[in-house]
Amino acid sequence: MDARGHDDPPEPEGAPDVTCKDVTWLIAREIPHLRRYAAALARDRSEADDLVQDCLERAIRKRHLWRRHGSIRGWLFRMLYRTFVNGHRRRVRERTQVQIEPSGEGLHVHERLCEPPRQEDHLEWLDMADALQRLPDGQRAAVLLVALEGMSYDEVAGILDVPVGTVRSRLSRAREALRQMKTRRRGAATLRRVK
Amino acid sequence: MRRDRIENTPPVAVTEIDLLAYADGLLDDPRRLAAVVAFLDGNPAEAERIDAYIEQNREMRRLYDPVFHEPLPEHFLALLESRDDARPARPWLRTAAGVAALLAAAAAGWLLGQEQSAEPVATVIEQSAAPVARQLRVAPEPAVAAPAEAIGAGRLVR
Repeated sequence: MDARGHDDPPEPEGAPDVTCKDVTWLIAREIPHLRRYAAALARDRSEADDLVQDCLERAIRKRHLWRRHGSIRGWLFRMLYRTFVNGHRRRVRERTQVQIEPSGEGLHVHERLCEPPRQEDHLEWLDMADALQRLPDGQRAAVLLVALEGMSYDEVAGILDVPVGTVRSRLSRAREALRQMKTRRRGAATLRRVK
Repeated sequence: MRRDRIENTPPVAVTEIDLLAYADGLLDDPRRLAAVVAFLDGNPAEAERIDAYIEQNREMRRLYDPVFHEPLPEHFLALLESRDDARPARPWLRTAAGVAALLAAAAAGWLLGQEQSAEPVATVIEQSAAPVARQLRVAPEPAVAAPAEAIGAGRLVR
């Protein structure tokens, strides 16, 4: 196709649509990646789709800024994560305003909205989804980028906007927490069966 | 003399970072890789822990990869198109989605190939390219149908 690419002179706005079109094409190709990550990051699918939608809107608006950020995937994931963090803060704020929670339980809202298929095969998977949701956001965000996208720790650091050392410690804690949760759950299941 | 000693002893100390990178398949340095493997051989408890981490990655992929292969919601594509204020260049974007699905199919083939028998990725790509190529010629095809089609092709390929 018309691959007028990299060494175009810098274009101010209103410039030929070729480049923007190319970028839009590249963005479209990343949608499945963004959806998969968002589905794992968010609490439910509708929140996940909202995240992707917001991310795509921003990406299209800012597509002329992309070039200097390296890979388009990294750029988009960065945007998605920021949208997630901002949305999360907003939700927490809203919740604190609406509910006055005197008890220590406070903001412990636990919604699993996806209707869970109750089959044996899926049991372990649901456990993982649940366990992931119990991780702190930053840890979940990091471990999912590695597991789902196979990203290097440096890439993850770039997306989450933290030093690579922080990524490593988050990963380390996330891994261990997931393992502990699984062990505990397995223990609980055995107990039930014994009874 | 000193040189000899340095070359004979494998002095790579295994760190937690190495172990994590190993579990994530990110440990490229052959010397570190060898050191980690040796370390795990001698430490069953640690080997079990790292195996659990590897299994975590598999579980997360099993759990969320289906989302990757779902047909794209129409409104995502519409969103991209509406901002593409240039010309009535609709079909190309939908082709992009088709390409994404195709890559998804290839990736699926690759992942499946990893866990089951090895299926040459090239074959998957080649053969699953057919529907998209067809779609390119028959221009204004409904976009949402494309991913499913491409994936189906990718999966059915022998």
